[in-house]
Amino acid sequence: MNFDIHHFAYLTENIEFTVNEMSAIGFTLESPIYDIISQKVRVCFLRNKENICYELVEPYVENLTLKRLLSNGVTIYHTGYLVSSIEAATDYLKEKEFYLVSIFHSEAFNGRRCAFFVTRSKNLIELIEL
Amino acid sequence: MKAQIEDFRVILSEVLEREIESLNIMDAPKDVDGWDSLNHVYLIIKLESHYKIKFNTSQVQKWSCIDDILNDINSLT
Repeated sequence: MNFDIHHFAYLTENIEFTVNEMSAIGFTLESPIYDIISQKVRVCFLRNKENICYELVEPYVENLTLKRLLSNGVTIYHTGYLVSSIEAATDYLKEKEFYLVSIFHSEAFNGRRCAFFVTRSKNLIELIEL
Repeated sequence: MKAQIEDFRVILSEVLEREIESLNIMDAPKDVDGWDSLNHVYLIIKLESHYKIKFNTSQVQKWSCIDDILNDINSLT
């Protein structure tokens, strides 16, 4: 089972402001800003010359969980991985005692399926189906 | 049951990081502010750790209110 890192997700109160900040250290906006309605967030992707990708995530006002993380000072909060099959990866991760949080179609990936999992130690990961 | 709902209230309060004053055993997760899918999983992890139990997927999928969760804890302890 391959899990190829796609991005590190970075919480922000204001996407446009953080895009500007990150440009100072070599990150360039490479996507539109998407509304992912099911997840109650706005997101966009930045990349640098070393091919490191950040997903900036701005929670909607009503997204209390992510707002709370932000107010507690959390910024980097999940890692995104590309997988060939959500079903196969789900079966594999459940066997490894990862907990499935949600499966959804993401506007940020042309409607492809994504899934969030969390471990007992609160390591949050997102899978993006190729 | 009263002690359990009080235990549960404390655990839920810790997971949601706020005071849970008016929690009712017939409340569904969607009725409680901040009880979203991620906090739902954090709650499961916390309950499993607290009660030293393991819920199975079919149990969790049938939960429609707090009473269902308490019943499953009872059946596993």
